[in-house]
Amino acid sequence: MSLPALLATRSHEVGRAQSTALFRHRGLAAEPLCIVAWQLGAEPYTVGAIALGTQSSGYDLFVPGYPIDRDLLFAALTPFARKFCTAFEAYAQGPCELVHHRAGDLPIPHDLPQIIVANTETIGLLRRLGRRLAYLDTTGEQAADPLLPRIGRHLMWLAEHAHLPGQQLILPMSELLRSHYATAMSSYETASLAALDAWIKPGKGEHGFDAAEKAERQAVGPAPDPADAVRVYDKMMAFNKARDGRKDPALVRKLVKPLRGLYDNMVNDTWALIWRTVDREKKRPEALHVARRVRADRIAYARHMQRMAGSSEGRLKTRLDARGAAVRLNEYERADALLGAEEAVDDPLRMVPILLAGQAMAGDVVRAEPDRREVINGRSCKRPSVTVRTDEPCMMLPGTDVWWTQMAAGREWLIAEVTPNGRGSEVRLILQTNRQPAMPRVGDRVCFSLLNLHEGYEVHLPWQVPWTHQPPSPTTETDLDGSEAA
Amino acid sequence: VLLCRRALVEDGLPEEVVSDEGFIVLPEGVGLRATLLRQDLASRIRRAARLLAGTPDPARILSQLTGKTEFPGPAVPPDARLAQLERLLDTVGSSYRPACLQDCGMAKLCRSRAHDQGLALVSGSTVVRQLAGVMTLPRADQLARGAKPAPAEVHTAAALVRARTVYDRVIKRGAL
Repeated sequence: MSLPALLATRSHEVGRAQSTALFRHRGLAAEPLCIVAWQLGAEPYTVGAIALGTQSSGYDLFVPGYPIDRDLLFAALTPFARKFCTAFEAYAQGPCELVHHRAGDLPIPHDLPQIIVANTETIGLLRRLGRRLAYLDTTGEQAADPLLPRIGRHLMWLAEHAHLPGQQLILPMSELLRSHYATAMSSYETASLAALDAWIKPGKGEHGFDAAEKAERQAVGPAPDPADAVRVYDKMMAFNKARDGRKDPALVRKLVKPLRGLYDNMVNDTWALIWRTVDREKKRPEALHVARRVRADRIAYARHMQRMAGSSEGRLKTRLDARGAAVRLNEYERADALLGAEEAVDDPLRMVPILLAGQAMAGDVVRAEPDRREVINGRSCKRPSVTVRTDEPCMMLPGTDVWWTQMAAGREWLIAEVTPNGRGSEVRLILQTNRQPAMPRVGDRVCFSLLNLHEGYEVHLPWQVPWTHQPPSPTTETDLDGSEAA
Repeated sequence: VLLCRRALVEDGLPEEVVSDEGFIVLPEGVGLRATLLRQDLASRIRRAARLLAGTPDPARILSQLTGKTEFPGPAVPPDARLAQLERLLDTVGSSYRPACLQDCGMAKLCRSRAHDQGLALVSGSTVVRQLAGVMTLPRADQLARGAKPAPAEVHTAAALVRARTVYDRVIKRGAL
């Protein structure tokens, strides 16, 4: 498979990123919640500043000042939590449709509640922040505002959901761009949203490499640029010295202004960059199966909100047991396989690597026998057949099952015969059923591949660990010396 | 461990003063519980010694260089410093890899030079692997456009031509 090499070569020669998709493969909500967060040095479970908004024109910025102080941090995070929870939970209270889900009715929102972030590192920071807040005590002397554990559980669940392939509830823009474009950068460099954006749209007459070289200096969070980190530290220490241990909100608001101004500048650049990429990607036509994945996300959101309203109040297990881990892994693997198949079926450009790997073939239908019959178990059965003339040689062997991309959720076709034809092949395929709503016709351009849209094997494990997988029970020690002595 | 042992041996201490056993202390789990792991490093130390024994002698390399091959000092003005670095790299060459960006202050200079030369290394190991026998991206582009390949480039050229044909067809027609 040499497509990545070809695209790297071409983007180096042309000086621009090359598209790897004709369609947009993730849903983008009309009004997504955008979050930009800055981490404070080596404090992984806290934020130096966090910004939230739904419009490119502006955001609300929350700056604790000295986030190492729990009271100051929570005082800044409480209004953030209020704003986030109100916006995030509004979808559950808005227009919903009832779906039957696991022996009950589940109201799923019409719109996708979507969070947009710059990169996966920001999701990691939100997960850690959520972990810190999710189990705070809301009673007693050190009682935290109930909004803090609430947002903590939302953030933890969102970060957990982010592992599911194809989800778009929380969408890192760098990943979206990485899946839609190829550049001459290494995979390490493509983690930079600013560099990727520069390769996609460099300045007039500028090579993507030069544009990216300049752009990659821009930090988009959560780790600040080293020079900014020094400035943040200086201003933070000055703030801490000026407040002299006092935590009066009015005083803190007044003293934190210089630090807030610095973070404001840092957020501004990232904010503009994220919304520029969102607006550009919105212009792409949405792929056909995005709707299914958006619906799956809406169901997942509704289930989460149901858990939040239930007796567990949205608490999640910190560690999975062996059964839970196996089930989760199976869920991710099925989602990943289905995502790959859906993207390839929806988008011819996504099918190119499959074709080049010899797992698909594309060509013109030169013969169609919709009424062809064959004897199966002594009965004459209808088994339609088509013959496809491909431009490239067909690498798949006779006897292989393939699926027509137009009916990838339907029944398989059996490759009956492959004969060389000029540079390509002539392939005869037989449909393995007599019922198919549509059939390829002579002259149609068709593609058959090994990919199908059937749900993969869903693992169902017993709740009790079977004896074969239980650790051996501790053996009782026999005191041989003692028994001899007796 | 090996270098530490050698340094102490040079100071007249016995080899056994540095043990073959190493400890890794790290936090474990959400509670960040301090955990100590014991590692037997003997085989890794032997391997490092073998690798070090195989490295070329720096004195012999330096003797082959002509002109001034020294890193510029901090007192040198920035532009002159950069020019001196460029001259140094012209003389000794560089071996850029994307991983250099993680820990080398000169990585961006080397990357820029590698980009100017069109080296496939700039695009990472996947692209290098797929361009077996082809060193530069401009050459790969020529091969993709149908240039006659050298014997070492035959297989890569065929794959590139095929990829280009299919990719261009999809971009042009919007279908496979």
